[in-house]
Amino acid sequence: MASFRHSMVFRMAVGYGLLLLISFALISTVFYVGTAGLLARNIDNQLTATSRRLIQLRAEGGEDALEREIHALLTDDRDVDTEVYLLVAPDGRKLIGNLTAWPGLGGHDNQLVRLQVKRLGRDSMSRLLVYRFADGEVLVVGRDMQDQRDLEHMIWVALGLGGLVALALAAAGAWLFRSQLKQQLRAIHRTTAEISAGNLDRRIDIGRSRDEFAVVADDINAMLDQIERLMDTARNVSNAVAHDMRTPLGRIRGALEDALRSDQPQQKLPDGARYAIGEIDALTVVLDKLLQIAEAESGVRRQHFGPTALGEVIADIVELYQPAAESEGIRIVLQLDDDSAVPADRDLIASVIANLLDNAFKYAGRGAQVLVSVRHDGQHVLLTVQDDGPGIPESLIHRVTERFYRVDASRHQHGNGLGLSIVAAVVALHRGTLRLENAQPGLRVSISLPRG
Amino acid sequence: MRCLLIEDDKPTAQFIGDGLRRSGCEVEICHDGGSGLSRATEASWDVIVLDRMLPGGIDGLDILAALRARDDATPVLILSALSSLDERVKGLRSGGDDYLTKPFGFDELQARIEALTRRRSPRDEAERLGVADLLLDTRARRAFRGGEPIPLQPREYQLLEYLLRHQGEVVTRKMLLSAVWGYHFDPETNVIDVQMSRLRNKIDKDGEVPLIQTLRGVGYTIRADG
Repeated sequence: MASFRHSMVFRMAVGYGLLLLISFALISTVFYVGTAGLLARNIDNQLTATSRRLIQLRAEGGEDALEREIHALLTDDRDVDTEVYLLVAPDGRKLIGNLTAWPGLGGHDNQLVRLQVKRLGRDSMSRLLVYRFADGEVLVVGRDMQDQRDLEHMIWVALGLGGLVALALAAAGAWLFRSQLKQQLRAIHRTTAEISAGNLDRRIDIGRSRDEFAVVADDINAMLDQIERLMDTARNVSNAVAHDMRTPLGRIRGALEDALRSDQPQQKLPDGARYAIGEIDALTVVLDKLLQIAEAESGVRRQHFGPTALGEVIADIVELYQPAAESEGIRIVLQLDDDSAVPADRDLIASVIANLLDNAFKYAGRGAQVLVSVRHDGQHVLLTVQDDGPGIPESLIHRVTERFYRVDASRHQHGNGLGLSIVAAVVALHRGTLRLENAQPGLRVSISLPRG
Repeated sequence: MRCLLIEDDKPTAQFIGDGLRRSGCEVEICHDGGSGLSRATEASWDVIVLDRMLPGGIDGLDILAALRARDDATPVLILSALSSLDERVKGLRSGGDDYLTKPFGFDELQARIEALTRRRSPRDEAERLGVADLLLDTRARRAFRGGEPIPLQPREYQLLEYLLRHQGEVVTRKMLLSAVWGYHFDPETNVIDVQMSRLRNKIDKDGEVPLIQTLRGVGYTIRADG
């Protein structure tokens, strides 16, 4: 919250405060117009009606009738506190009325005005309707507005107080809102700052809250978990790459040196060169596979996804492997119970099956039986490859998808420890799940791919 | 055959140039993008082998774009140390005819060049293919050796037909996998070798002149001269 102006929280708080004040002002206006305003309009209507009646009376009954009526009105004990009547002769002499002093009435003919007058010897702010007859006589009908002014004053005071309370509430609410937000954001800020400083294992404390901030914090935590996993993987991979590259490089170097140093270099050199080429090819394969994994993990190949009939691909690959299996005395049993299409990269799926068959051939060995099956499983297609070989020790089974990880640590078996990493990466690319378990006997690999 | 090789790495250029000359090619080598571009556009070539990354502001894809902009359809094989699918797709989309990732074996390169420069021959459509006394009736999808019919599985037949249509050329395992099975990946188990050895057992029986040759580390070829 470096600058007030740039604080989103501040802007939101001020915005809500203003909104509250504006709505209060609107309500006040409606209220005022509905009360004081209505009263004022009623008074005006009444004055107009009375004035009109008196003018009519003079026209019908003459001067005397008018004076009698005004006298009657002034003495009828109704509206004694507020009523104003005045009849002035053309020469300015008061004929009848309860005003003791009045300012010049000229120029206000036949209109409603608000004037300071003296009524029964008392100053009075009155609403007056002045009518000048043709002969110059002037009739004034009016009403003392003191009570009306008192009422208006009361309303203004009430509204003002209400406004102040609203303002205070808006400010308090904004402050509360701001401090709440700040507190929540500070927790996130503190954690991200620590992570930037290198403490990758820090996570945002969510507590038991289930609000929007908890949701965001939860997302951030999940993202951090993923980043940490990736970084760990990258670290392990670079270590493993260093190891798995140096070993064959050392072998190549040794073989070539040996050939050169030999007593008969002419005979040994071709063998050394051939050996070196073989090892370099193997290294290239490792590099290609690492790249395949990286490519699968990056997700770019999703662009190449098309509806792929898994059963068909699996049948093709099993057919491709059949002769190799027969020559090893391995029996492949294929069980196709589903031929639905899933969005997938056909070649990648083929390479996954090939990888699993490669593994089964390699580890279950001669005379093994490999069961390959595809079946429908709700919204997923479930593919399993199961051999009857030695399986994988339970304690190591979760590590076999790590790059370069090999159960046979002494690395007697030919291989590079990348096969299942590719499988895992491709399955993840297809948003599927990969499960490895000991089937006793043998290893069962299950892949579940979403059908769309 | 006239071949233009544009490759900035001199040992690689030398290795490819020597190999191509040995196989009877006339080779010219350029070591940078500028000279590569001018040579590629001012003379006519049977094939251009083009390194993807070149020094001097003009890289392989620029040369390719310039060629294709002139409606020059000379087959171009791109060499690159960038092997991701994205790079491959980019190279082929810019008009490359094939894409080979370094490091590669010379035989592999030669097989690819052969595939690119092969003139469309009557063999492509021929109903009867053959080498020596091996004969293929593509309409009936049947094979005969010395007049005797050979019983073949459908895949074995497809393998043999592909080999015969490319007779005398080197075909790699990857080419076979993609042409016959329609998949692009590298199986670890030697599945193609086993399939080929089955086919060979049926074609080249004892006492007959072997027709299918294995080229170690590269692939296969079918030829009459044994």
